Amino acid sequence: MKYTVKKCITLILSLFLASVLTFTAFQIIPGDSALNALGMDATEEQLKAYREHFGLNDSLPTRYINWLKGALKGDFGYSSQYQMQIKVSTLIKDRLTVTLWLAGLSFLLIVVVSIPLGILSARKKDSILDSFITLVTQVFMSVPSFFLAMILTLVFGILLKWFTPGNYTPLDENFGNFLRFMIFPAIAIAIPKIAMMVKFLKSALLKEMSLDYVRTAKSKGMTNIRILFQHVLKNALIPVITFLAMLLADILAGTILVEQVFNLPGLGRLLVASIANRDYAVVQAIILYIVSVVIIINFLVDLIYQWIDPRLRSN
Amino acid sequence: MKLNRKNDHFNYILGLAITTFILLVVLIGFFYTPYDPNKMNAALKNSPPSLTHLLGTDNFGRDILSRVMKGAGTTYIIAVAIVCIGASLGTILGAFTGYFGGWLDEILMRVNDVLISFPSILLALVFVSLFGPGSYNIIFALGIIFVPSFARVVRSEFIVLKERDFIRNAKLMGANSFRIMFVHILPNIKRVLIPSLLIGFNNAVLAEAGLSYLGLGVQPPQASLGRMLSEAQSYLLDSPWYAIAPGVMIVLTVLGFSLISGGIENEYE
Repeated sequence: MKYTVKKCITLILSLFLASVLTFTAFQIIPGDSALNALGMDATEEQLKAYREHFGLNDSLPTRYINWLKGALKGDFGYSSQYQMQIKVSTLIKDRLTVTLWLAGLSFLLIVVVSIPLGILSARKKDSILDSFITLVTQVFMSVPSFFLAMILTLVFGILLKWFTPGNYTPLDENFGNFLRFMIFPAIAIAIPKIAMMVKFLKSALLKEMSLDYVRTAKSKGMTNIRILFQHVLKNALIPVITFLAMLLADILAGTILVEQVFNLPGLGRLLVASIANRDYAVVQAIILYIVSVVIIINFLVDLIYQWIDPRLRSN
Repeated sequence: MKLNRKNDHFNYILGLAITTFILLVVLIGFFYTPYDPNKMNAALKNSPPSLTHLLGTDNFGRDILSRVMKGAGTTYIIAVAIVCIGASLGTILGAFTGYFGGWLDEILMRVNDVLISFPSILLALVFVSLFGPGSYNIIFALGIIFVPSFARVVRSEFIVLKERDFIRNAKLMGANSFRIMFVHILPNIKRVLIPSLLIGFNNAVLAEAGLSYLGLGVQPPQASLGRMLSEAQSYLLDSPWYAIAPGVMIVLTVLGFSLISGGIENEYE
C-alpha cells in the first residue's frame, strides 16, 4: 500500500515536471509567435490584438498555468498551420485513433509471435532450428522499420497487389478495409521488435533454466515441459514485462516513421508536419501526450511488478 | 555447448567480413566514385541496374552506386560524431558518478532513468523542432541523447571495479582519484565499453537514417542513406532498386556491427 502511494506521488510529480519542461522548452524559440501566425504583412494593431487575445503579454508562470489548465481539459488552443481555424484537440483526436490502432496491432503481433518463438528457441537450444532462428532474428533486428515498410509496400502493394499503397480507408467507413490496410504498417513496426523480443526471451529463459531450482525440479523427476511452464516462465516474467514496456515506447516511436511511409493520418505524421510548419501548439501537445503515455506505462509496470513478485511488496 | 561456441564464432567472422566490405566501399567512396554523385543526366532517368550503372540511376539520372558510397560516408561521419560526443561525455559522467557516488550520483541517475525511457527519435524530434533541422543539429542532439546510455554502462562497471584489490593497492601507493579512474579502471572496462560503442554506432546510423528520412536531418543535395530512402519512396513503383540500395546498406552496416559486438561479448565471457 505504502509502495503504491509512493509510486502515485512519483507519477504526479513526473507528469508535472514533464508539463513544465514541455512548456518552457518551447518558450526559448527565437521569433515572435504573433508574427509567425499572422504573417509578415500584419499591422501593428493586429499583432497587438493577437498578443492580447492569446495572452502573450502575461508572465511565463501565468501563461504556463493557463496552458496547463487548458491541457487538463484537453484544450491546447488553435493550430497555426491551419490558420487558427482548427482546434489542436480536434486535430489530435482524429489522428489518435489511427496511431492507437497501429500501436495496438503491432504490440499484439509482437506478443503473439515472439513468445512462442522465444520459448521454442530456448527449448531447442543449440539445434539447427535455434541457429536458424538466431540468424534470422539477427538480420531482422538490423532492418529499420521504415525501410521494412517500403519493402512491404513494394512486395505486397505493388507486386502482389494485396493492398493499394496510399489507399487508406478510415475506421468508421469500412472496418474490414481499414484493418486490411493497417496490418501492413503494423507488421513493419512489429518485425524488428519481434526479433529483439525473441532474442531477449531466449536469453532470459536460458538464464532462468541454469538456476539451482530447475536442477532440483529435474532431479525430482519433473519433465522439462512442466518445469518450463510451471516454474521458469513465471520467474522470467519480470524481465520480460520490463522489456515489453520498453518496446511500447519504441513502438510509439516506430509509428512516427512508419505512418510517413504508408501515408497514414496518425499522430506521428501530424507531429512531423507540425515541426516542419513551426506549429508549436500542436508539437507541444503531441510531445506532452507521448511523454505522458510513456510515464504512465512505466508507472503501470511498477505496479504490475509488485503484484506479480511478492518479494517487492515486503521491502 | 560446443556447437553454440562454433556458431558464435561463425557469427563473429561473418560480422567482420560484412563490416570490412562495407567500410572498404565507404572508404573508397571518400576518394573515388564511379560517377559524380550529384551529376544529373536527363537521358538516364530511373534506369535499372546495368553494366555501366551497377545499381541503376535515380529520378535525376544520378548514379546510385556513387550516391550510396558518398551517402554512406555522410551517414558514418555523422554517426561517429554522435558516438564521440555521447561516449566521451557519458564515460566522464559515469566514471565520476560511479566512483564518487553521493547525492549528485543519485540525481544524475534519476535524470538518466527518465531520459532512457524515452525513444531517442522522439527526443531528437523535440530538439529539431526547437533548433531547426540540419546535420549539425542532429549530431548535437543525438550526441547529447546518447550520453545516458553510456553513462549507465560505465557507472555500473566503476561501482564494481572500485572495490577490487588492485584499485585499493593503487590507492595505498598514493595514486590520486583522477589517475585511478582513468588509468587504472577505464582500461579494464573495455569489455563492456567496446560493444556499447558498436551498438551506439548502430543506433546512431538508424537515428540519422530516420531523421533524414523525415526530412529533418541531412539536407539535399547532399546524399545520406536516410535522405536517399526518402527520395526513393516516390519512385518505388518505377524504380524499386533506388530504395533497395541505401536500405540494404543500412541493414548490412547494422548487422555487421551487431554481430561483431555479440562476438566480443562472448569472447570475454
